[in-house]
Amino acid sequence: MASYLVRRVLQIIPTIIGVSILAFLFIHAIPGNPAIVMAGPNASTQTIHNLSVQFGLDRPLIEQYWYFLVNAVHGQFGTSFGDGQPVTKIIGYHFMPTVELAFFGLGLAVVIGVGAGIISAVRRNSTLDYTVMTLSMMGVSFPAFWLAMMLIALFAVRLHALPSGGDAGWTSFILPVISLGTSGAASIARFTRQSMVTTLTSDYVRTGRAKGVRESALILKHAFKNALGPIITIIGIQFGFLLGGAVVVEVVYAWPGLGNLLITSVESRNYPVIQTLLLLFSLEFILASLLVDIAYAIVNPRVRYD
Amino acid sequence: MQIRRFLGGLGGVLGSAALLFTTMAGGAQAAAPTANVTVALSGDAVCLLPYNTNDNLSFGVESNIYQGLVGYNAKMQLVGELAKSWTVAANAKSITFNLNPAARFSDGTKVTAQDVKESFTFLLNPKNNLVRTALYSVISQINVLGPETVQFQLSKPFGAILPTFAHPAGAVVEPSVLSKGVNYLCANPVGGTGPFVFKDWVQGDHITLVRNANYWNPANAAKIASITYKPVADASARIAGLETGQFQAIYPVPNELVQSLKSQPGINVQVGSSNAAWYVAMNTQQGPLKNVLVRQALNYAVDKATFINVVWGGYGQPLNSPVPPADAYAINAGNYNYNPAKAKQLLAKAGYPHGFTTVLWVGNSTESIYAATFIQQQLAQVGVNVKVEPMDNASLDSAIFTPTAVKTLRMNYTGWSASTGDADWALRPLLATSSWPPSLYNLAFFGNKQFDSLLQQGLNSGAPAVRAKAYAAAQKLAWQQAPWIFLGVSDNIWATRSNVKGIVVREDEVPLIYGAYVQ
Repeated sequence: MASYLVRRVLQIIPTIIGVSILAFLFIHAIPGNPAIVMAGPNASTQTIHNLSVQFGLDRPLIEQYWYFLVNAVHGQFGTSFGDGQPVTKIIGYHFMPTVELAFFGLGLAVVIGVGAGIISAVRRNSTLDYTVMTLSMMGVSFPAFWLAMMLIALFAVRLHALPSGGDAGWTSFILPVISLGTSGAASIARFTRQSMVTTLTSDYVRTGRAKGVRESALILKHAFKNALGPIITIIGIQFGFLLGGAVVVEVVYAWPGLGNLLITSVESRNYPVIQTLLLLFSLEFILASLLVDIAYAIVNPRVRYD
Repeated sequence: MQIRRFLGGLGGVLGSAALLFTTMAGGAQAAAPTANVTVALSGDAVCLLPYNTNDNLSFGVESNIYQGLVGYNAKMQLVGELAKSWTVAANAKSITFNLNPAARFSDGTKVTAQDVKESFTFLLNPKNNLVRTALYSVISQINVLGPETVQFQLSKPFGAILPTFAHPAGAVVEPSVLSKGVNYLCANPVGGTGPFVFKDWVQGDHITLVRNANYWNPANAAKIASITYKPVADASARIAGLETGQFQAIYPVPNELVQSLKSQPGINVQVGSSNAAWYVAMNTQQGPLKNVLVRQALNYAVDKATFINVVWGGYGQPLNSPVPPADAYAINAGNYNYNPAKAKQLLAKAGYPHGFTTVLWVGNSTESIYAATFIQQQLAQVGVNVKVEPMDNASLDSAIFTPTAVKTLRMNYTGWSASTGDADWALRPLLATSSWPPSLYNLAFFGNKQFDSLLQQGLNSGAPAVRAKAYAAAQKLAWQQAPWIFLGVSDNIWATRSNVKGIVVREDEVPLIYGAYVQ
């Protein structure tokens, strides 16, 4: 296990380099020159040229990439175009809001999703099951911004019970977390139900029931534990996505997170911020997938990594 | 004992009386204001140093912190700020300012002519790569004539020099902070003279300004304790925040949401005129658009009144000149009344009886695409087939500010607001031959020698009568040559809580918060 982990961690390095090259090429392939964006329509061509030189935009792509890579290895991710602040500082401002939202959103999604999935599986093909699965289908299909706006319209505007956005203390978390949690819960519920149905109908569970094992122990200790594989995977994927900043929810709630930052940076072609964000998102995804593998090995001791 | 108590009591009474007396003598201000006003705008500021600013949102934040020698008040009237008087030379080759002796930086030090010189020298230094250097590049020399008298000499006659100093980019920054460099000042706008000072900026989250306790002008001191700016990109999120009271003011308000907002109790929706002219620029160097008859035909083919009603919800005014009526020296240059039959006639006369096909570039905001679709439909009625190509701002800028744009650009729906409020800046960057992209914003690639010479006449003199005559002729010429489909002048729409007053969006679309007070 230890050697497996070491190998997985070492694999991160070539993956990240590969991602950074792709991200770099991709961003520079988009039409739009940041020097022109910064200079604006009133500046002279001389200013545009000077800005290009100042930010190294006139150098060959390979040279620009090389400087980026060398600096990144030293922990320098450049300065943000426009406001001239270190990229790490800007991303630092936006990091915790997204992590907090991801954590609580996923937490809510797991609690509701796994719970609903288990109940559906245990009472499968009953009215309860159909209701839960229909709600789950709705949760997956509703556009995130629509649900978010409906929640704001009802709880913030009509009832004045909760803030409509921003970060005014813990009450600001409630609506965004519900928005994120419901769509996450929907997919987790479906996967949980599926996986639980497989284990609940398996031979060893039927044997256990025949032997007189208590039903709750059967469901939770035997069936659920064995059903955990796909459930952990979907939770891991959800976590990876959420760490990338749920862009739509962040924009609607004016949540100062990484998703919002990505949008504004792309609009202004803020290359240093975009590149660093893409690297960060890939790293988060890779780590989330590593955590999933570790969790899977813990839950299922028969799994051997070598 | 009793005498002591009596004396103590007497002392107390005298002391309170003295305190009361000094408080009252200290002016109309009672206790310091405590209210905070939170303003939600459509995005975050970019850079808060006026010398390096292009967008009205950042200018709006800066207007609380920095002041120029002269400036525009909320009614877009040119007024003295740090200068109490000025003289423009008759040959328009120099301007002299006399500073207000009361003017102070936020740290209490006096604003001197030397400070002004150092500040503008920093702006003019090409090594600083500031985006606003070009606007002031006509200044060739700055002379300190006295402790409160500073003279700017110009490299050539420039009749529009006074409005240029009133532009929000013409701020005076305390020289001692300039050494910290542009990157620092972009994020930490210190060294100003205005009624507020900078407290903090968390990019993407908020900007906080607090009342300047050392402000030098009691006549317009801050009536609130602090301003918080929040970037809220989604319009309905801004409106929801205003309705819940989280925000005290929001801008902009999309015109289709005005009615529903007006009906909410506790909310005040305000509409003001702007100096933003909206038009479709037509490339006068390419294809059918080379022909003035074609361009006039397209003007007759678009129903401007319906455009204002449908695309702007009625919140706009007609545009009867390339210069909007709010700008100095604007005239009513003519009318292209809606007349599709005449449009077809002119097209036939020009040799296009069956119309032609062309391309319209536009930004990708909802309103821009709506406007472009409207124009496409109108032009289809006279046989002109328009392909609409929306692009995001950065792509559009890159497509325009390149030497090949003269070949690739056909039509572009866009707007322009002259931040100097003067006909020169409403005309020269948009229609002078020297302003062809990538230099400036002459998207019509209009190149008319007579027009250029009229613009130069307007600049050669500082005398208003001479400038008025030149610009009147220039506007009539540009109207007749129709390098644009002239559409309209948009209104500014903003909203506040009913108990929050004194907030105005100025005609140049800069939101002014410094006059705010809470009832």
